[in-house]
Amino acid sequence: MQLVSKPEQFDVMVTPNLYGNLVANTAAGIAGGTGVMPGGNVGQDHAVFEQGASAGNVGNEKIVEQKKANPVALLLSSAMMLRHLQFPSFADRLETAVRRVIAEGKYRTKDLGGSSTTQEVVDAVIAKLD
Amino acid sequence: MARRTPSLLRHLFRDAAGIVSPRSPRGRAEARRFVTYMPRPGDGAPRRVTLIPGDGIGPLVTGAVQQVMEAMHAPVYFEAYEVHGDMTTVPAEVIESIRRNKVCLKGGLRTPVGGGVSSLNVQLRKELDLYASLVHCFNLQGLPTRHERVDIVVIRENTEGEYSGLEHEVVPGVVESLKVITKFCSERIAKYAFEYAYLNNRKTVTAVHKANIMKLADGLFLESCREVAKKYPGIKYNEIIVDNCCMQLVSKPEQFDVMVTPNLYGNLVANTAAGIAGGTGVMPGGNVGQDHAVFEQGASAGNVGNEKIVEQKKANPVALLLSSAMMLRHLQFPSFADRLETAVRRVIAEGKYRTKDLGGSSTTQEVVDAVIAKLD
Repeated sequence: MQLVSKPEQFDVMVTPNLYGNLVANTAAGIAGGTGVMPGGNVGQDHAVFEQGASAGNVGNEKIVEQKKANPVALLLSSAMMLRHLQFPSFADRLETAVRRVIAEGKYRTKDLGGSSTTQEVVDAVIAKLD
Repeated sequence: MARRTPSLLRHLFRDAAGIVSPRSPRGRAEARRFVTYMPRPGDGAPRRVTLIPGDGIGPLVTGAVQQVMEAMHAPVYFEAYEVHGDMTTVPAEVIESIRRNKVCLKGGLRTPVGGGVSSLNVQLRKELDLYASLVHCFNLQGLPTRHERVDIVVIRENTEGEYSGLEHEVVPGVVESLKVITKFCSERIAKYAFEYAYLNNRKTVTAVHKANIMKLADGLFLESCREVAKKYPGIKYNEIIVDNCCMQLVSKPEQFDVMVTPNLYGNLVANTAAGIAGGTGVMPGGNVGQDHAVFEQGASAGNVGNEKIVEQKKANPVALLLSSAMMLRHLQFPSFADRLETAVRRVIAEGKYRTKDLGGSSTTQEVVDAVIAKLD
């Protein structure tokens, strides 16, 4: 309830497995959707990066057919991955480009209220790279 | 040290839709950095760093760094050693400590002019094979200079060249000084320079030389640079003779990006670039080799100040503070590094607390307190 009424009060949240799944999806939803939040999994020796919330989501047939999936979440997760691999400059460039595309608002997939295809968003990000 | 990207940090601060905290000035989106970073378990374990306060202003400015690190609760603790410029060599226990900790922060060590004692600063670099010296010279907001948009990184070969220390008196009144240039050292410094440029999205590497006169020595250096340049087709490579370079630095410094130089030219170019962009009191830098890194004031690192500054405690701590931010990044504590750097930049931008070399009259302690106050 607090998440959906006063989410600014929360900063870092640590949860057991199931609650984390629910809290992460809710938090992602209120802040812009699972299509844009980055995240990953890490252990002592390895790290696996995937879409932040709802990572197991494979979309529906229609999105696959029309190639209109939102690549932003995985792009931001790959920026985290670059930082993890200690390439902070590349990570910053990627993140900046993605943020610019979102800020501009011209190329957005359906979940963000637009109608672009995945490729259009990708081309926009590449165009905005430093 | 190859990971510093201040220009991109500025981008993020401009573009990030940050929440303006009530403490920061209106309109500044610098309050929270929206960079997602997933640490490995154990990344927060405190790291031990060797500390050499040094001579003159050294203890003053290293003390400043210690204070700020404590204020931030940075996961760094210092193992301090007394080393002074009048010792014959750097004590073995200090070298041992740096070999163990891999990272060292130091103030300047006094080097006598002439006489028999070789510089301990140089000794340390050679002993640990810190073959690359990096100085980042850039305009700071709030510190206007004659030139804007200066953003030069000088990468200087640190172990050979004119600093080989090989001199002898052939006959009384005739001295021969040997400048040694090797393919090995030239290649590895060129590789470091191009790798730095690649990792930090820099567009151009300029080799500084005087091969028209020293055809064999500087010629070898240039050859090595050209070889390495071929492996980085995406990075522009050009060469400039050192005298023209100095002239260009003081008239049109915006043209330079990353500069790779042999030992002596690097010393001169770094000090000149630091001077035009705001002074040696503010430019960060350090020395790095395959296994160790020693961070110190960027340009003129051996400078221990004069008696008056030491007495009045008015040394500029900014350069060493920014170098210690580089050190935090090297130790993989980017968030602490960013906080420190941001606080220092805010203090400079505000302009209220400045030491004499920047046109003010504050003491070192006043600047340190201002930085601590501006920490997030």
